[in-house]
Amino acid sequence: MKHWTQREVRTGGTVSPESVQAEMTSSQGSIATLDRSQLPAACIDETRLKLYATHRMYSDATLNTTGEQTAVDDATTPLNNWKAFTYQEYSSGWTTVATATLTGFKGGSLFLEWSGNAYVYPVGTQVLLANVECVPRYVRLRVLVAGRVLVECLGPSQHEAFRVFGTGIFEQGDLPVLFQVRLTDTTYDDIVEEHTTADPLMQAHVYSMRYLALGRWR
Amino acid sequence: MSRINRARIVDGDDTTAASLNDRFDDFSQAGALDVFNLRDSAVDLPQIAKTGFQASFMQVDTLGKSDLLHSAPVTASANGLSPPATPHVLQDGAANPTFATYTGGLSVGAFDVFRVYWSLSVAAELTGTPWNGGFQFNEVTGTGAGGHLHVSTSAGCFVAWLQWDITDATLTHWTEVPGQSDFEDVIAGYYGAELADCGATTVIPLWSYWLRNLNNGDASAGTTEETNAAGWRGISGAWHYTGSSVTVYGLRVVLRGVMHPRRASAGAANALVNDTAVAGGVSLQYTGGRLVTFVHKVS
Repeated sequence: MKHWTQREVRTGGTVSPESVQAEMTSSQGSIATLDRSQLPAACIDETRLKLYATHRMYSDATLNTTGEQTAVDDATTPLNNWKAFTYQEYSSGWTTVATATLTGFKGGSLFLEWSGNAYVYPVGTQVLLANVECVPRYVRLRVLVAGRVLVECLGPSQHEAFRVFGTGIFEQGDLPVLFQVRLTDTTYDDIVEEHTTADPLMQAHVYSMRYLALGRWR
Repeated sequence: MSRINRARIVDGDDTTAASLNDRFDDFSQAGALDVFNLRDSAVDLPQIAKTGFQASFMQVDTLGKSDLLHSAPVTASANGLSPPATPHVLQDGAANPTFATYTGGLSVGAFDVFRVYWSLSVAAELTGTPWNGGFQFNEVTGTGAGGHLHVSTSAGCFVAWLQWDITDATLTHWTEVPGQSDFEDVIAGYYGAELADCGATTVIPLWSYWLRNLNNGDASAGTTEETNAAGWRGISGAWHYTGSSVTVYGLRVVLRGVMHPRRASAGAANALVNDTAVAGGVSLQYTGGRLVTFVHKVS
C-alpha cells in the first residue's frame, strides 16, 4: 500500500510551512488518483472491466469479403488461370491488396498477423540474357500500420501458404492498416502471354487472406 | 465511455476513512473500469485476477506421424474419381486419425476468439510428368508441335483444410469450419471450391517448373525445361473464429489433391478444382506436426 506521508512528525522537530504543504499535496494527489500501488492483489477481474479496458482483439477471417486481392485482377487470362496479377496490368511497386482499421486503439503494444495463400508463376526465373539471369520470383509482403512498416518479408516463391506477423508500439487512435504485395518485376525475356490467343498469363495472386490483431494497453 | 467521477479533494476537506473507502468502492464496482480508469501502467500483474483473463485456454495436439527423419512417411494419394473420394484425414501411420479433442466440449463465447495454428512436414512424390498433364499448363510459343510448348503453371497443389465437430463428443459429425468449402462444389464440370470459400485452406505446392535460357518470351531452341518436385518442408495453417457462441468437441486437418486454378468463364469467380487427370502421378507424403488452439478474449 502506498504511503503518502512525506515527513514523519517527531517530538522536538521543526514544522515549516513547506513541510505541511508538501504533506497536503501528496495526500491530495494520492487519494484523488488511485494508482497501482494502492490497489490490492487480484482486484481486477472480468466483472469489473468494461469492453476493451485492458486489451482489444481485431480480426477479419475474410479480408475484402472474399479473401482475395482484387487490386489487379486481369479477367482476360485463360480459363485455367485466375483473374489475377498479369504483367500487362501490374505496374510495379508495392500494391495495396487489402485494408483494415483498428478502431479505438488505446495506445500501446500491437501484435498483428496476416495469413493466406499466394501463387507466383516461376517459369521465368532463369532467362537467357546475362544481365537479367536468374530472377527468382516472389510475392513480397508488407504490412503498414499508421503509415509505418510493421513487418516486411520476401514472401512466397511457389503456390503456398503464408503467415507474417509483427509487433510494435503505436499511438492512440483509429489505426489504418494496409496489406501490400510487390511482385518481382518482369524481364525482357519473360513469358507473358498465351501462344494462340495472346491472352495474358497470370503471374501472381493472393487469396484466403485474413488478419488478427491484438492491442494491449493495460 | 464511462469514467469514475468523484470530486477532487480540495483545501479544507477532511480526509476520513470513509472518503477513502468510497474511492476504493468506486474502483471495484462491477463494470466500472474502462480504458480511461485503467490507464497505462495503472495496474501491476499481481492485481489482475488470473482466471479467464485474456487467453483463457490453450491446448497442443499431435498431428500425423512422428518421424523426424522421414524414414517411413504416411502417403496421401491424389484423387482420381468424380465425384471425389472423401478427403484424407491426417493419421499416425497406423491408420489411426489424429486430431484435437476437447473434454466435455470447448466453449467459445460471443466475445471470444478461437485461434487455431497447425503445422505439418510434407513432400510431393511425383512419377512421370504430371506438370504437363490435365490442365496444369499454359501453351506458349516454342519448339513443340504447332510452334508452341506446354509450360506448367506450377499451380498444381494439394489443399489442406480444417474440419470441426460442434455437435457432440462422439466425433461423428465433422463439418467444414465457417468460411470453408469441402471442395466438392461443381464448377464447370469439375469438383472444387471458389477461392471465396477457402477461408481455412492451406495450399501445398507440388513442383516448380521453369525454363532455362528463356529468350524473349519464346521457349524456342536452346531453352531447356527444368522441374523440381517440392521436397520435404514445413507447412502451416492459421485460422480464427469469432461470432456466435459454439462448443467445439474436435478439430482436424484433411487433405485433397491435385487441385488447380480454374474459372467457369471469363467473368466467373476464381476457383481451385480437382484435376483428376494427373492423379496417377502425384501423391503427398507427410510425417508429423502440431495443432495448437487458443481461446482468447476479444476484450
